[in-house]
Amino acid sequence: MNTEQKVLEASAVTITKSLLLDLEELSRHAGEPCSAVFADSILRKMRSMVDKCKGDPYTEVVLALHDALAHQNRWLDYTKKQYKGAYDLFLSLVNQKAINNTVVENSIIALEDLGFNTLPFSVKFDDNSQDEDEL
Amino acid sequence: MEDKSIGRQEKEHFLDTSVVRSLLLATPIYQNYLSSLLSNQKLYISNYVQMEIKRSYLMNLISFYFILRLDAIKTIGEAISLWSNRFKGSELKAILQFIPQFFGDYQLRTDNTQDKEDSLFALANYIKRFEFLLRTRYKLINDATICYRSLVPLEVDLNDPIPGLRAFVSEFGDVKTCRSRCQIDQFLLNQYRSEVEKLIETASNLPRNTNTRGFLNIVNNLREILATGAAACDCKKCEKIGDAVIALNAPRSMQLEHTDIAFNYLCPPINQPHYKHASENQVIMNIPVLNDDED
Repeated sequence: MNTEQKVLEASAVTITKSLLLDLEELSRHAGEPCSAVFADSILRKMRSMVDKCKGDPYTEVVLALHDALAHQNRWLDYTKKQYKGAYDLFLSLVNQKAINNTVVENSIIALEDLGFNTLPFSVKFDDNSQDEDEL
Repeated sequence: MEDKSIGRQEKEHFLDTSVVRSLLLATPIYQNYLSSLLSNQKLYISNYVQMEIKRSYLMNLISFYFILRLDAIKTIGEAISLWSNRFKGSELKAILQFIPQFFGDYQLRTDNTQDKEDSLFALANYIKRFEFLLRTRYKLINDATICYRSLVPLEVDLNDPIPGLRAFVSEFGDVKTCRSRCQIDQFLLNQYRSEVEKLIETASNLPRNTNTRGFLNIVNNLREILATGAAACDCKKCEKIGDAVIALNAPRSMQLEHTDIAFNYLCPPINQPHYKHASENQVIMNIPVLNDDED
């Protein structure tokens, strides 16, 4: 690992660590109006990783949770228990010196298992258009 | 709608492409509808089903990625304009539905040249995650066609996603090589020949109307394959008979879950248990769906 990559990973870990405070607060206040304070905070930090920490494995996990929370304000729909699960997951990640692709994949599955929809985008396919007569 | 809950607890379920795609990409209302019927069940798909989703969605996402990456394209907005002006069709329009939602969530501006690099990274990240979840979310049954396209790996290094994306497009699009390594001809002409003949016989007794049209189109292609032999089996033809391939390959011990009405005609002749789910429009508009011919 070169110096540049070490600095990059340190930065990604640092930002990921900073998410823990917001996740902890969301695990206490999910469903309350004041949860917006922490949702706003965590989403901004998550988006900053797109600019600052491209290609980092931590960013990959964080963006999976970002998509689940950001789309159509679904952060409002998740429960205290789910946020606690996300907190525990990210705590375990930042306690590791570095994470590899397998850890990333397991973390995405863990988020899905917690009920976070990391593929929340709706697309409609008009399958009838393929049924045109071919004779 | 008839209550199928008792039977559902006892069966394993094989998901058609339309159901998998909806579970991954439909509106929350429709996802909730399908999840209410399928959650906590043993759900299976095949590599062939994965291939159909990669062909209809993932390939287009990757293509959009490279449109956006072009030096001549300065912004997301320019990429959207080029895509919408030059590419048509349901699957291509689907990308236009996805892109604004996705980049909107990242607060990336469609008219800002400075957001292009961030957009490319976020999109590559999504493509990688989508393929991973498609590959791992459901259990696999054996794909008797041994579809080689379905086995083409997508290995994306987010520090340098271009080689992995390009290799995938190149291999997935190499239908000549893929066809040379699959066994769709054996599958249709030998392994399931008698079933294919039953489908052709069934079709001969059906009138052409809006309900039967899809099935009859599939059977016309099957008829041509039986008449011509292996030379008629290519990836383009396979795309046209995809529902038949999925029905034939479905384990008879499992219930095939689908939304396409063609399966109502494909499944009974080959004794494949099946269940037609309401379409997304039917669920949203609360229109009941009938399953008269369900086993």
